[in-house]
Order: sequence, then C-alpha cells, then structure tokens
Amino acid sequence: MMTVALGNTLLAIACVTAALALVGYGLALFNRDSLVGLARKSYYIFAGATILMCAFFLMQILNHNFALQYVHDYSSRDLELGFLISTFWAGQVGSFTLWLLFITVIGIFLIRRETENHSAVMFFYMLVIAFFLTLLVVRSPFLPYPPEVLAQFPGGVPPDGSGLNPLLQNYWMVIHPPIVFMGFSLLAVPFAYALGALARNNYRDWVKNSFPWTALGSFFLGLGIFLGGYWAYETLGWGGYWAWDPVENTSLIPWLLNLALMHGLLIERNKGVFRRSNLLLAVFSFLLVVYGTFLTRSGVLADFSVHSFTDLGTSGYLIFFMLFFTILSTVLLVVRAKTARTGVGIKDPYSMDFAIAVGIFFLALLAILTLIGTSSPLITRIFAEPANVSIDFYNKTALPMAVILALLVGISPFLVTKDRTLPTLIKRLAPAAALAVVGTVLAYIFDVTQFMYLLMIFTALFALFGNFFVVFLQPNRVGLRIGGFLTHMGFGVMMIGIVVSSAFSQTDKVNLYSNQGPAQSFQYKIAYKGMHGDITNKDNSVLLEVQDGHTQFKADPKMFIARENQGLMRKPFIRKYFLYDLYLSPQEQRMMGEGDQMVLIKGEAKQVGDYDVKFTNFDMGNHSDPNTMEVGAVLEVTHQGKTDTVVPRMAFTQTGKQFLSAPMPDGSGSIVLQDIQADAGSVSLKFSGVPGMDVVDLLVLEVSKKPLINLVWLGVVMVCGGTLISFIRRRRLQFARVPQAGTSE
Amino acid sequence: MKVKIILAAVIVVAVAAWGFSSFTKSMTSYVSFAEAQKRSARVQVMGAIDHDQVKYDIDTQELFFPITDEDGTTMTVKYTGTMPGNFSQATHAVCVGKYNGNQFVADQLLIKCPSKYEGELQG
Repeated sequence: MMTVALGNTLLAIACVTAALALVGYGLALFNRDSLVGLARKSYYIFAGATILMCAFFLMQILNHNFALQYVHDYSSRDLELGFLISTFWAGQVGSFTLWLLFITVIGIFLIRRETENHSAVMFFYMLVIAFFLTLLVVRSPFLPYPPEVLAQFPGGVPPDGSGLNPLLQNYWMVIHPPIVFMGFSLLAVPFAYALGALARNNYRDWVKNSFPWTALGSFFLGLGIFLGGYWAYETLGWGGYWAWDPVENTSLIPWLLNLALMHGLLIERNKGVFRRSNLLLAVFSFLLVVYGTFLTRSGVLADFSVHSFTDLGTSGYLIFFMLFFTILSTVLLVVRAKTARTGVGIKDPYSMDFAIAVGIFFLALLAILTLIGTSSPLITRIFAEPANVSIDFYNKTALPMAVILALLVGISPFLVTKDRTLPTLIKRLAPAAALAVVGTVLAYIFDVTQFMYLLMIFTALFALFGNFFVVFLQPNRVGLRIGGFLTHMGFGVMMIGIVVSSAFSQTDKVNLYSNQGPAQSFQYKIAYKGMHGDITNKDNSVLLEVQDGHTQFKADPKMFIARENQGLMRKPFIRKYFLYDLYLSPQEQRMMGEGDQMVLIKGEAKQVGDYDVKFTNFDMGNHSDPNTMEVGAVLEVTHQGKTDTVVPRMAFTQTGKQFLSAPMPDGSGSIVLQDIQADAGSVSLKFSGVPGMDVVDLLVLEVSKKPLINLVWLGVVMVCGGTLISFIRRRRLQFARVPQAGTSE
Repeated sequence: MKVKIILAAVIVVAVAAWGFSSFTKSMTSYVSFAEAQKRSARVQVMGAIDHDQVKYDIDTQELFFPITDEDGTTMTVKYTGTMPGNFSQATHAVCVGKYNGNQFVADQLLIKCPSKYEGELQG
C-alpha cells in the first residue's frame, strides 16, 4: 500500500502545481504578470512530478505489483520486457497516462520559448493538461484492489496478472500506440497557440511558432496511422490495411485537418491572408482529437465498431471537456472574428496559393465527410433508431476527393513562376500530363477498365510526375525545400498502390489435407505438411510448401491457440514479389476423419466413426422438373442401436452437378454423395465431421494476391519522410528570425 | 468576388447534396432480431455468439453460428465471406445483411474482439 500512497502523492503534487501554473498564467491574461515566474516554476515541478509518477508507474509494472488493478489486468510474469513495457499503454487509464506524459514533456520545450503571447498560450496549454490530470484523478493508475480481495491471496498479492491480450503481443504494440499518442499530443500545441493569439488579439508570431509543431504533428500522426495499417496488414491478417473503422477514422480526421492547417499556414506566412480559417483549423484539429477520444472510449459506438470499448465512467468528463473546449474556442473565435480578419484573399486563379486554398477546402471537406460517417450512429440516434454507414459511404466520398487533391498536387508546383496565364501553364504541364496519359493507357491495357480507377491512376501519376519534374529540372528546389515535393510524390505513389491493390486483389480459399497432394490456387500448388510444433505453443507455425512454376519455397504462417483466452491466433505469411504480394493466411485447422471417402456396393455396410452405414438402394427421385435429374443413395445409418434412413442426393442440372448433402442422424456431420458407378451398383460417399472418425489434419487456407501493394508502403515512406523534412525546415526558419511577410499589422 | 462566392456556394451545396445522398444510401439500421425478420431492407444486428454451435461447412466454406440479442432472441447467421481472423475469440458479432428463409444471411461481419481498451477490472 506504500506504493499506492507514493503514486497518488506524486499525482497530487502534479495536480497542485499544475493548478498553480494554470492560475498564474491565467492571471497574466488580465495583465497581471506578477505570477508568471511562479507559474513557470510550478510547471517545472509539475513536469518533474508527472515524469516521476510515470517512471514509478512503469516500475510497478516491471516489478509485477499485481496488487494494483491496472498492473494485474494488463500484464503478467511471462511477458518479455518489450511487451511488459507496452502494458503501460495497453489499457485505457495507461494510455491517458502516456498521453499526459507526452504533453508534459512537449510543454517543457514550449515553456522555454518566450513569445509575445507566451502566458496566454501556456494558460490554454495548462487547460489541456488539466483535462488529462482530471481523467487520472477520476481513474488513478495506482488504484489497488480492495483489501478483502487481496486477502484471498497468500502474501496479499495475486500471484500473476491476467496478461496482455495475445493479439497485442506483437512488436507493433511497442511502437504504434506511442507514435499515435505523440501525434495527438503535438496537436495541442497549435491549439494553444491559436487560443493564445485569439485571447491576446495578437497574431504576430502565431504562424512562425505553430508551423513547426504542426509539421511535427503531421509527421507523427501520419506515421502512426500508417504503421497501424501496416500492423493490420502484416501481422493481424485482416487482409487489408484500412477498414474505415471508427478508431482509424478518429486519427485520420485530425490528421487531415492538420494537413490543411499546414498548407494554410504556408499561405498566411507568404501572403498574410487566411488567418481566421487557420485559427479555426488549429482549434478543430485538436477538438476532434478530443471528440474522437470520446467516441472511441465512451462506449457510444460499442455496437458499431470492430474494436470493443468499455465505459470506465469517464465519458461524463470527456463530454464535459469536449463541450468546455468547444464553447471556449467558439467564443474566442467569434469575439475576435473582426480583428483577426486579414486581407481579401487570393485573386490570381493561376497562383499556387489559389491551388493550395482549393486543396485546403477539399481536405477539410474530406475530414468533415469522414466525421459525419463516423458519427452516424450518434447523428441517426437523434432522429430514429441508430444506424451506421457502410464502408461504401467512405469510399464513395473519399475517392473523388482524392482525385481532386491529386490534380491540385500535380498542378501546384508549376504555379510559382511569374507568367501565370493559362496557355503558359498548359505548356509547362504538358510533359507530366503526357506521361500520366501514357501510364493510364498502360493501366487500361493491363485490364483496368473502370472509369473511376483510370481517373484515379491518371491524377495520381500526374501528381507524381508533376512534382518530380519541378524538383529535378529546377535544382534550386533541392535541399530542405524538397520536403513538400517528396510528400506530394509519395501521395501519388500511395494512391496508385491503393487503387491497384484494393481494386485488383484476388482471394481464394483452399482446403488442404496434411500428407495429401498439393491443392491448386492461382498458379500455385500448395501442400500442407502439418504443424511445426504444438498448436498450444505460441511459436507454432503451419508448414506449407508452395510450388510456383519451377521454383519451390516454404511458407510458415503462424497459428496457435493463445493461453490467455483460448483464441486462435494467426499471423499470415507474406511473400513479396516485385509486382504483388502473395498473402497466405491460415483460417482454421481441424481434425477430420481419415478415410472420409468410401465406396459402398449395394447391400454393403461399413463403419464410419460411431455409425454403421449400409447402402440399400438408389433413389431416382421424381422428375417433376424436366431439366433436372436427381439421384440419391438410400442409406441406413445405425447409431446407438437406432436406425435411420438418410438420402444424400446429386442433381444434374443444365449448369452442372449439384451435391445435396444429408445430415447424419442425431449428431454432427454430414454425408455427400460424390459419385455413382451405376454399372458396378456402387456409390462414393464423403463424410465430414462425423464423431468418432479417425482423424486427419485439415487446414483452411486463404490465398490472396495483392498487386502493387509495395507502392502503398513506398508512398507512405515518401509522405512521412517529406513531412519530417518540412518540419526540420520550419524549425530552422522559426529560429532564423527572417523578416516575414504578412505579419505586420 | 461575387462570382467566386456563388461558385463556392454551388460547390458546397452540390457536395452537401451528394454527401447526404450517399449517406442515406449507405445507411444500415441497427435493429433487434425480431425487427430484422420483418424487414426486407439490409440491416445490422448484433448479438452474442454461441461458440458451441458454430458450424463451418468445409465443402461450401460457409460459416453458420447462432447469435442471441439483448431480448434473448436467437437466430442463425450464415456468412460466406472470409472468416474474420479473430472469430474464435469474439464474444459478439455485428452482422450486416438480410433475413432470408430461416436464417440471417450476412455479407459483412464485424467481430467484437477484446481490444486494448477492454478487459477492465473484475475485482
């Protein structure tokens, strides 16, 4: 119990000092700066206490202190170090703690930076911190089990924890969540800068200071989203990388708005316009993080999401803070609407700024449509019974947006030179457009025939080549300026990958029997060679031999039954070819009766499992339908002294043979009439799932081919790399103290 | 200036109309089993899976399983798509499809597996 007291003491110190900092910076809003020094000192103490608290929490996990509920519920003794550390953020409370830690550390960088609106910015930043601290006070990570529960265990502590969800026992669990939370945390910075500028009605340094943070937020959030997709594809075997699930969407929406903000800041920096929409974007990209947290953590979507969420009793607080931040921001935005107003906008329709402005509009629109789709169970609840939109909605709305954005991305780099007229523009665009046309024609030859796909491929290629030409034909663009172009080329590459891999992915399912000949799927012959080890061992894999023309290789997708929940865990095997991925995903393994096929001559009886089966007669059925002929085998099946007649049938229709299987009497399993040898008076029967049959190992394997999926990953690397370069550049500019356009009042 | 505003307004209205129509078209209502059996439209149901009764027909690769909703009504779901990777761990399934004959034929299956935000406190 000492540990609990120490943990809660650190939490209490953090709360008190955070409150002091909040009040100190808050008073500065009313021109009483006397407490700013104290507020800053308080912040340092708060940060120290928070970091210590997190370290202490981690120690409890590493030391297996199962008296704490959180440690007991998410970790266990057999976890290796990486996974043990990842239990820090495996649960809801822990993830809030990690989030608080990141925001606190970011704040240390923020507080050292003196700006004109410093106190105001820090005040709003402290409000965000207060939000997370409140959540932790409501639900402390140091919550112990009640003494009477602990008394049941020898030594007063449960001997082991319930362990980490086996689905999460994967190296991505160590990497992915912290990156996403870092992205979320970084969005709090432009939010605080925007509100600080609005509160003080001073926008002089808002662009310069929020730009690098926005770029870094884009980088982390984007990387986190993409890594999540790669996790789903490569390890979880979901078959795809993106499913428009609410949890995925709640990261995507703020990211899109954040990207829009980044572009808006570019215009505000160059032209001194777009300030109000930028402030709006900065505010809403963070508000939507909070809203997303509410959607996914409060249980409101429980009936609609693949992930399942439990309400920890925090949803009241989440709603409160969401409303509080929304009202606060709205009031500030409305009050300052007049004074924050900048110039008249962009007049020249052939300028890059105009293209960027249109791009911002469509990025925001895509974010809004995704938001509406994700919130549909809430929206419809108001009018009628709750309903959800299907994935169609997202695809239908996102694809046209992607086309427009790709077009803009392709055109914009050509819009920088002085002679901005339509004919010169067309002349400059011509080479990129010509190459895009060639690529599209090639795609058409390779069987891409749907108009929408062709359009997407054309615009994606245009975006790729357009940026490529501008960068490599104009050497002055190389250097740190390359960031944006690299990101835009990556967008094109990624889009081609997405279109081709999702529209032309092929899937097949095959039943493989161990120690039998290989089965054919696409051009592959796949043989099942049994299990590598015991299915209850967590390193167990399936042994497959794949013959592809003249080459042969071994595949070993993982499959095991998890100790924690007795669930079947799988990890697909992926073989990468230049043009596609071969994706082998085991679906199910089961023991089947050996000799499940048998031939019976009329009058003959054989034993199948616990049953005696006697073939007595053919049944020619009635020929009511002249196009169909049915033949059945009349079987007398005896089970535990009781005899029933079972008639599996075969129907010959114009389209071919159809098998009408018959169930076994009082038990599981079925019989299929596979073949009839009329002259020999015999039938071939196949039994499946009959109890008591000798066993043979059956594996159901899903085989997919996913063309050009490598382009998705290549595009992702380019997008993230480009964003990172942009961040480095903006960070340098922030400290360079270059005179900036548009910041003079 | 005026032209631009009108153009922007036209785009906004067009997008809104198109967004709204795709929104209503792709909508599937979430209903009880009793309600699902009455309707001819595509609906969404959710219930607890009875894992003892799950049948997977190897030959047709069809998955059959009974689910029970909050009202205690049980119905059999037939699903022919790819079996979700974590089906065996699922406690509940969200099925999108239509009621047909004496079973619910689902074309989309969402599995509610224990995820990272679940598994809270039993003590």
